This record gives sequence, C-alpha cells and structure tokens, in this order.
Amino acid sequence: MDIKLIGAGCPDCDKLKASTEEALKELGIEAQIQRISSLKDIILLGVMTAPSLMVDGKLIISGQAASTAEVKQQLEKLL
Amino acid sequence: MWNFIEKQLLGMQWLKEAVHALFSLLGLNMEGRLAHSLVFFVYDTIKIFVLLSVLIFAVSYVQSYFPPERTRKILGRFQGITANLMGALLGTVTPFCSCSSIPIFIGFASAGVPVGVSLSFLISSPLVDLGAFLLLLSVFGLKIALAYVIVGIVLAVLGGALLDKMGMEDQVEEFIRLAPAVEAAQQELSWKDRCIYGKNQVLSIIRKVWKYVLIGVGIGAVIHNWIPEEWVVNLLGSGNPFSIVLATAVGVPMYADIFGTIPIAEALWVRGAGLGTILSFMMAVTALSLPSIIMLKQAIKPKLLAAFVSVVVLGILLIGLGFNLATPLFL
Repeated sequence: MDIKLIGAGCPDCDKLKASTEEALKELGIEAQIQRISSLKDIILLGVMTAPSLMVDGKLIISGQAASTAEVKQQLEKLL
Repeated sequence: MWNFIEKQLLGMQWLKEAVHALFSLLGLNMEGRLAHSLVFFVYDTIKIFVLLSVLIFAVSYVQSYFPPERTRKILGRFQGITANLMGALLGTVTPFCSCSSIPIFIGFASAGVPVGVSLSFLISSPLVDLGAFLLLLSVFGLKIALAYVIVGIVLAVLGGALLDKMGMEDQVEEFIRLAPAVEAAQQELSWKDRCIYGKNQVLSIIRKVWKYVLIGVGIGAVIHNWIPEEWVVNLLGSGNPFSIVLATAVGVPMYADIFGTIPIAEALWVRGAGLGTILSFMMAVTALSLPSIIMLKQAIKPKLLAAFVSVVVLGILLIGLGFNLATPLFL
C-alpha cells in the first residue's frame, strides 16, 4: 500500500498522521506513511488542500483532520 | 418576521437578556460598567461560537461540492471579466482564512488559470464568505452585511482584472507555471461523508480561531464600556478622513480572522466610529496579513506581490472613504 500524507506541517496534518497510524494499526496493515510537505511536490500530485491522505494514487481524505474511525472506514473500502 | 430573524435568531437578543438576568440573580450590581463589560463578553462569546459552529457546518457542507480541484475546472470555462467574477464568487464558498487559500491559488496558477482570475479568488476568499455574511447580518443588519459582501466582491473582481491588465503572467514562480497539470483522483462523497467533513471543519476552525475570538470580544468589551465615546468619534468617526488610513494601517499586518474582528467592529460601531472606517479595518485585517504575505512570497515574484498589496490596500481605502461619505444611506 502506497500511503502519502500531504500537508506542509500544520497542526491538522499531525492530527491526521496520528489517526492514520492508529487506523493502520487497528486494521493490521503494515505500511509506511510517506510525508509530502514541499509545496512543489504537493502541486505535482495535483492536490490543493491539506491535510489530505492519498492511498495508491487516490485521495481518500481531502482537506480535513479526520478521526481514526473515519480514516479506518475509508481504508476498509479499499481492502 | 424578518425583524425576528435578525434580532432574535441571528442577533440572539434573548441570550443577552438571559445573561443579564443570570448575573442579576448572582447579586451583581447591574448598573456598573464592569457588569456591562461582563455581560457583553459572555453574551458575545457564546453568540459567536454558536453561530460559528452552525455556519461553518452549513458552509462546509456546501463547500464539499466545490473542492478546489473542481473549482479549478469550473474556472477554466470562463474568460475575461466573467472569469474574474467567477473567481471572486467561488472564493466565497471556499476556505475561511488566507493561509488555506494560498495553496489553492498556487494550484490554480499551475493549471493555467490566468493570474488575474486566481488573484480575484485570492482576494475574495478570506474577505467574503457566507459565514461572515450571516455574522455581519446578526450584528449590523441586512443593509450593511449586503453592502460589505457586494463591495468585497467588486474589490476582488476589479483588483484581479487590474492586475491582469498590468501583464503579470511571468510574475508567478517558474516551478508553479511549468508544473504539469495533474489532477488527483477524487472519491465520491455520500451525504454522510459531507457531514463528517463539515464536523471536521468546525472542529479545526474553532481550534484555530478561539483565541482570536476571545481577544476580539475582550477588546470589544473594553471599547464598549471603558473608552470615552468622544475619543472614538474624534479618532475614528466619519468626520475624520485620516481615520480610514489609520484603520487600514493597523489592520493590514494583523493576523486575525473575520470572526475575531466582528466583535471589535460591533463595539466601535456602537461607540460612534465611522461605518467606512470599520469596514476598512475589517477588510484590512482579513484580506492581508503578514503571515499570508510571507507565504505568498514563495509563489509570486516581488513585483506582483507589491502590485497585489498596493491594489488591495488602495481598494480598501476607497471603500472606506465611500462608505463614510454614504453612511446616511445605511442608518
């Protein structure tokens, strides 16, 4: 699973990172979260809001600090 | 009926009376200035947080239909001044603070949206939004709220169009202009997803703005009860043309959002400051701030940055002047 956390280090980004880590653990998925924080890289991904979560090239969370349960639910749809 | 909506539902007069009654019950001397400050503080804080939560939730629900990636596509379909107008209008349904609108501005520019149109968006996005409109409605009434929204949009449209005429296309940093236009795959949202989005926006915005609201209400309470009326009238009344320059100069570097600014504006209004002066102050605080200018500097070159700031400041001064002259129409 290719997981990208997109955001330039705002407090909301850390929140989303924590809930994503927690959700992955609860689902028993072994994956690294790649942090994309440079403006240039964010543009190249075609994303315009932060914090967002991209899994295998698809945005599953867009511009919000989602809770663990919400991230988990989105991840389950992909399994 | 309209009066009821304006005074009780949005203005929450009943809450003010309730707070007043509660303090009297606690045995406070309700004639003193301290008591008045306290009532203003408690009432205004509760009112702003309640309105803020309800409004952000509603606006975010609407917003979820216009993610920036989609907005960008809509903008691509228009040309000329219509495109500026669309940019300004779409700015009213997208994020609330200038720091979140700058990445969107960059996204527009990278997709080949003309720089003037992207700038119209960038001006209107922090300046005018549905939440601010309803909050202004509750404090100042329909006429002034509408006037604020209309001049805000006019400023965004004309400012963007003017900057476009100056030939600024090459003033956007290369890495943005030359970026390939890619679009991330979006997920379909159900109404439940949109509600979750709304809830998360409410939480995240309240986390971000609560201190500004408290500071704003605090300053408002002090102005309301402790600063002599003639000081406010002399310094900031519509009879003093210099007041607009002062209000704009104080407002520009300040970083706060419109929700923290409204209680200060409300108190100044009651104490006799000029309408144009107050609008200039609110617009200066929200449209420009030091952090947002620093952020914007990463994306555009100094010439455009200077032109952008000058056009916005000039626009705000003119709006202030116009409203101070036309105040009788709004009373």
